[in-house]
Amino acid sequence: MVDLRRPSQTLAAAASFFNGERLTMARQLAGLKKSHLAALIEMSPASVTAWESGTKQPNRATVAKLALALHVEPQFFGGGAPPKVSKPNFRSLRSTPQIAQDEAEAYGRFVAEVAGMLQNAVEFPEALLPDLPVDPDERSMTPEKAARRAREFFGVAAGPVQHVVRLVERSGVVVVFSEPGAAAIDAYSLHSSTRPIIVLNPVKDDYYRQRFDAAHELGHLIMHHDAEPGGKVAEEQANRFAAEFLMPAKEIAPFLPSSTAGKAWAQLAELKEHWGVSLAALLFRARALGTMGDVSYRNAIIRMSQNGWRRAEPGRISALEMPSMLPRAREVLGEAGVDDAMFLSGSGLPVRLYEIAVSRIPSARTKS
Amino acid sequence: MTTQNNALASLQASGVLEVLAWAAPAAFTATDQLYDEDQGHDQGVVGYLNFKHFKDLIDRATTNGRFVVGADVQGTGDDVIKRGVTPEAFHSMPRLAADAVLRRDYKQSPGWAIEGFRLLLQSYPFGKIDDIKWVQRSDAKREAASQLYVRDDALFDDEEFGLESITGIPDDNDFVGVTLIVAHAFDPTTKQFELYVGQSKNPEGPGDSCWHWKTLLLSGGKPLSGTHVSVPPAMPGDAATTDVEDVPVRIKKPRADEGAGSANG
Repeated sequence: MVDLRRPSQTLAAAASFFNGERLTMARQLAGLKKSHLAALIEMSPASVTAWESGTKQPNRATVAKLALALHVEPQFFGGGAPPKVSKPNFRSLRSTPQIAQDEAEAYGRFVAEVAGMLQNAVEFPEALLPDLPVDPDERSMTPEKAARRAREFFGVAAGPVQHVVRLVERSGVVVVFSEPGAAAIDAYSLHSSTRPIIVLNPVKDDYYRQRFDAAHELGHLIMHHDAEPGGKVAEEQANRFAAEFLMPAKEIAPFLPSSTAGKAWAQLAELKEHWGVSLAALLFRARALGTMGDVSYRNAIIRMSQNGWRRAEPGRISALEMPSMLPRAREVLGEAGVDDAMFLSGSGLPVRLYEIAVSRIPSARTKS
Repeated sequence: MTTQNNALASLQASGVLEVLAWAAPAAFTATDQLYDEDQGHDQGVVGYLNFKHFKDLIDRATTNGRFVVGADVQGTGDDVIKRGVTPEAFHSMPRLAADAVLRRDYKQSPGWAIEGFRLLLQSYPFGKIDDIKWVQRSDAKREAASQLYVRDDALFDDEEFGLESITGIPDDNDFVGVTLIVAHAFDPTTKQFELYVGQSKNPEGPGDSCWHWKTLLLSGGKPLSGTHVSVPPAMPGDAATTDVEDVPVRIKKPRADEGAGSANG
C-alpha cells in the first residue's frame, strides 16, 4: 500500500525528473562537499557540479548510488525544485564555516518542504507576522519600538511572555530543533515560500537562554525581512529586540537591582523565574537601562564567573520550551492512520531528519 | 521597684526607648544597603556601620551631635534632618524636645543622658549577647562594667549603715548616675537583628554573666519587617511557564492517502 511502484520504476522516474537543486540540497543536508560526495560514489567532482547545475543528467545507476550515499530515497531527486528560502540569519557569520552554513540552509529548506507537505494534510495557524523593518540607521523604527509593537500585535499582557515558542507558533511560525550535527551554529531563522522558520540549537540546553534565542530570531523575522543577514548591527538589533520583548523597560526597571550587594542575588533569582530570562540577561538589562553602574556590573559578572554561572546558571525550570505545531501535525496524521514512512514515501525525504524536525524535544538529548 | 524596672521606667518616660526602637531598625537597614561581602565586608564592618548609623539616628531624633540647632536659628532644621534617611524613616521618627536627652560622652564613647541614666552603644555578633567581654572592648566599656551595682536582694544596703550609695563610674565627674549599655546586633545574611538595654558587668568567674540585668527591646527575623524595608510591589503579569497548550492543528480530510502529497504543494 505504501508504494505500489517497483524499485526500477521509481529509479526511472527519479532519473527522468532529476532536479539538480535537490541534489545540492541532499548533499548539503549530509554535510558533504562536492569532492567528498564524488569520492563516495567514485565519480569526478566535475560530474557532481554538472548534475547540480543541471547541465548534465545522471543515469539510473548513478541516481541509485547518489541516493545511497546521501541517505535519501531516489524519488527525493525528482520532487521538483526545493522551496525557496531566504538566507538564514546566523549569529556569527565569520565563525560559522561555509559547510555548516550550507547545511543549516539546506535544513531550513527541508523544514520548509516538510511544513508545506504537512499543511496539505492538516490546518495550521495562519502565518501572520508584523513587518516592522529596522534599517541600520534606525531612522524610522528602533528595535525597542518594534518589540513593543510586536507585543501589542501578539496581544501580550503586561509582564512576562509566558511561552515564546508557543506565541510565535500561534502566528504560524514553524519552530524546530536543528539536528545535533549542526551544533556549531546558534539558533537561526529564515523566511521560506511556505512559512517563516526558527531553528533552535539543541545543544544549548537551557530554558532561559532558549527563550532569549527564540525572541532574538523573532526579532530578525520581524525587522530584517529584506536585510542582508549576519551583520553585527543586525545581531545587536535582534538582541535589543529580544531584551525589550521579554523585559519591557517600563515594566522591569522598578525591580532591577542597582548592585549585587545584600539581597540582590536572591532578587535576581526571583526576577529570573518570573520573567523567564537568564541572570546574565537581567544584569545586562540593568546596565543597559542605567539602573546598574559599570563597576557594579563588572563585579556581578566576576561573581558569575567565579560561581561557574557563565556556563550554567542555577534555575528552577530545566525543561525547554517545546515546539508543538509540526509534532501535533504528525500526531494528528498518526491518529488518522498515516505513519511517517507512508507520509514520506512519495517525496523520498529522509525519515531520520523528518523525525528530528517534527520532534518536541531536541534529539541531542536522546543520545546522551 | 527593682533597679531594672526603675531604669526602664525612666527610659520609657523620657522617650528614649521609643527613639532606640525607631533608630535601630533604620540603622540596620542602612547597613544592609552598604554591606557587600564581595568587597570583603565582615562582622567588623557590620558593627562599625551599625554603630555609625545608630549614633547618627539617635542624635537626629534627640537633636544632638551634628543636629544641634544653634541658638539663633528659628525652627527645627528639618532640611538637615531629612537628609540621609529614607522618607519612611523620617516620617516615623519620634521627636524629643531638644533638651530631653543630652550628650554625655565618656572616654570618646558617645553617650546619651537623661536624669540618672546614661546610655552607651555596643555592637556584638548576632546571638552572642551573653558572650560580650567588656575588658576586651574600649576603656569606656570596661569602666562601665565595673560600676558599683546596688543589688535588690542585698542583705544590707548602704543606707542601713548611714552611707550614701555611690552609683555610676568612679572618677567620672561629667555625669552623675548609672551608665547603661545599649547592645545591638544585625546579621546581614539572615537579616536577623536584636536590641538590648542593660547594665553590664565583668563576670566574677567562669560561667558568670556579663550582665547585671538586660532587657530585650527589639528582635526581628528574616526579612526585616515594618516600614524600614521597602517591599517591592508584586511583579506584573503571570510568570513564564512551560505549561501551555499546543497550537490547534486539525486534519483537513480524514483520509489515509493524504500522505503521498507532493513536495511543493
